[in-house]
Amino acid sequence: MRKSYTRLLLHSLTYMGLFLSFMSSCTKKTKSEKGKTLVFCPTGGPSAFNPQIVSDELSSTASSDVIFNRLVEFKEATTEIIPSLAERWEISPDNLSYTFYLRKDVSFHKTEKFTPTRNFNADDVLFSFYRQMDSNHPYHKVSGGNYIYFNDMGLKDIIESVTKKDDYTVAIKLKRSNAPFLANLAMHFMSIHSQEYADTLAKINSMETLDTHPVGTGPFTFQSYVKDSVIRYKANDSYFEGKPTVESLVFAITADNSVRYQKLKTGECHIITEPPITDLEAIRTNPALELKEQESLSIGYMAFNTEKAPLNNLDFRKAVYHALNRNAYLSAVYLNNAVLAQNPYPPSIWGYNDAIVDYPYDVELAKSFLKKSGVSLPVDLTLWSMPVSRPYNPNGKKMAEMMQSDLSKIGINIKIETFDWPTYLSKSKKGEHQLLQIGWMGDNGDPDNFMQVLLSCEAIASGSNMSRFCHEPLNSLLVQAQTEPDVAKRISLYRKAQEVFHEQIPFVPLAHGKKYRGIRKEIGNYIPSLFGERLLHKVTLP
Amino acid sequence: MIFLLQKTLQVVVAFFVISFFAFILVRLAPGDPVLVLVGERGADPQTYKEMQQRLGLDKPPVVQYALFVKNLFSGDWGISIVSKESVLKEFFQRLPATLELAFMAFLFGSLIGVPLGIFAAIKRNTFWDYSCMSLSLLGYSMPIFWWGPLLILFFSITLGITPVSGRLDVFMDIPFVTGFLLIDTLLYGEFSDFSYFFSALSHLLLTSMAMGTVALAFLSRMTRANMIEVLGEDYVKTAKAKGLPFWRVVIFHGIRNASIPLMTSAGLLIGQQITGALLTETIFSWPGIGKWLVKSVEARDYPVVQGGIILIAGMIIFVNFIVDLLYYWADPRLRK
Repeated sequence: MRKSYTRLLLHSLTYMGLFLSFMSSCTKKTKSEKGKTLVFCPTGGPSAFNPQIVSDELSSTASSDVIFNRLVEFKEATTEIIPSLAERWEISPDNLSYTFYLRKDVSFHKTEKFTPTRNFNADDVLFSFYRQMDSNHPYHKVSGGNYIYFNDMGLKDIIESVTKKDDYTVAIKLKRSNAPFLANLAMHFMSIHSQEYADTLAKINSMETLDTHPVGTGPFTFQSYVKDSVIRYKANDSYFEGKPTVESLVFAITADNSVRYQKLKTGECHIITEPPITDLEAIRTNPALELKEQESLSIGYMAFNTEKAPLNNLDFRKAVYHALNRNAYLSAVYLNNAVLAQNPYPPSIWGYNDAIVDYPYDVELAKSFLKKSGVSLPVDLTLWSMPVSRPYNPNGKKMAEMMQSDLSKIGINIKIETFDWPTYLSKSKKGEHQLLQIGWMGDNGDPDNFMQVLLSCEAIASGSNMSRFCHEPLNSLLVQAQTEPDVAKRISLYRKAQEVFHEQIPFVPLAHGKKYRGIRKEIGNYIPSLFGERLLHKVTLP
Repeated sequence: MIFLLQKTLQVVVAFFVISFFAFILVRLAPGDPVLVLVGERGADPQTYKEMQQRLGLDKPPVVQYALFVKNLFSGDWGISIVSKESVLKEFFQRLPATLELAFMAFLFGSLIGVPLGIFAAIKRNTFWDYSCMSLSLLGYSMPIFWWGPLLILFFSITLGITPVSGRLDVFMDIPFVTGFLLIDTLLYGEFSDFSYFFSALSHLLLTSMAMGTVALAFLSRMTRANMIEVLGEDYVKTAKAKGLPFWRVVIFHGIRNASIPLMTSAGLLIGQQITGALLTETIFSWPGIGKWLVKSVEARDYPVVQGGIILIAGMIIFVNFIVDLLYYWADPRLRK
């Protein structure tokens, strides 16, 4: 009796093994047959396929990076501006008029729903601008009508008009000189849509389709999307910069960090974003894989609400700065995947002032500044800790606990509080906090995008100046730098602004996080770009 | 007849209670759907007001609830505030994926769990019994978010025989016919090219194993307990005394009678399976209702969470009702 059980068990195991290996051999066959597909594995699905109406990176990667082009683009992995749909441009001496000369050989995608009858021209540019700018535009209210970035970058107040001079010439007039304007045009939300497609959809009364079934000029044509699961694209063989090297592109959405990493190991993904931070070393040492490391355009910081006492006291702020052992956070919180920050923006952006000497971690010095500040001890303060993980602060809770213990050494009692992320953001924009962990991810590689957003008086009302710090000398430098067209002059203005920042410390800079992607060794020519994945069409498969 | 009426009344009351809790719970959770919707960049106060109005969230909660129940009765289950698709449509698009997974998990659990339970009952209080039951206890207490990745490590990475996650090879693009991939792939391959079918099956394997472990453990323990009870009954002793072969006693007197209470427990298992689906689907990127609900809670997509909870609860109630009927059919004493 016992023997037969054992035999039965052995037999069934053998058969199961045979069956499984047969099945896996079947699946492998189809894989080699379709070896021209690049599989990219992001962490989640897009909320819409139109970069004008969304602000998250998942959406812009799935739409703007692969489907669309802009008048100008960022060159490869840099913040340098190069021609794209506009082959060249002219700027008037007063910096108020821009003239763009468009390419004539660009066609829009042909999809199941739409076949273009004409090439890309000035009408498409006007359509893409006016949908966001003009509240009477027929498409303005479609899909909610919240043009987050367009408003955030202040373009509504900067652009006077966009006019068509002829089919291939567009003139843009500005209300005031704005140095980062060209860089703004290279951002995701300035993607150019087809007006002909929009008109076709308006006729059949399905305008929202424009934001769910995109038509662009980019290297890949949108095919289908199974929500939170798979996005399929086909190579655009008539792409004006040359046919993509792969035949198709698939986004296999995989939310779980470790599962995404396992899929990279088995080859089910060619490229994964955000590999688990604990597995970075394993990716580095795995001969089949490669880790792509990139300094992200971001800063994590702790803001003082300078409208509230005692945080409006400069000596008190200095005491806190000296008391925080920021190097310890680098290893414990960032697991050494970041560099220590001392200025309000990362060194990879031009104008970075490397002459500034950081305030060291020094408890005695901190105590003396505290005495000098005249604030009577003990002080009770509330610190808000970030509820989500971001490259600029991967573990807010842990960091908050470390800050709490650091500050207790000089007699400051910290109470840690947190909320869900949207509430956290909306409360801190209203200035309800005292000490706040927060960060900023750059959008266009211009220093203005950090300094103006985080430190100008104007940004207090919009909420992005979370230190609520309005300092006339600093603010006038920022306004000057924003309107100054000459780059050399802007550099010296920003270097000076960083000095003022260093004297005033409206926030404590913590770290510039790094961004990672894991890729398979066999794929070639993959260049991660600073603002998403703009170069997937150049990747080669074995 | 009275039995049926009673049951129906129970279902109606249950629905009201569930709809009320679904409505309240999602609103008690911190987080504002409008803020989630506009993203990290936020919106100016005017846009915020407009969006709130468009979503109907500016009305007092009592009015919102009344509208919600009224719409439910007219068959309008609401529109997802994220995808703007109808909740019912989204639900039925994802349901097949979950049913397929739950069915396979149940199959896995019962094909192994039931024989294991019978075996343990026959070998009661021996080494075999103890090891089977310890294993099943282990399976029952294994957290799925740990067990899932462990299975992936063993089957996909070490042995390399199953894919890590997903429902089908990403290179395969199959049109949606029934939503059950095991059927759709056969149709697409026209019953001659089985590579699509095998791909779907190999993707199902690991996921259903992860999800079926709890079912396996549960069923083996229940089967063992019921079998032991039945095997101690007088009629089994009589059968043995009459000189029937042991296997006949086990099959015709033991299993048949032990299976009746087992059916009720299997019905209870459905709720457990759905809970399992929430986690399993998230880990294995399985596009079913579990993952859909988790995503919607994250996005504070009120209509989807409300509708989803009621639909799932309705499903569980329905299955239990069916189980009751089966029970009625299997137990001759009830039919009098």
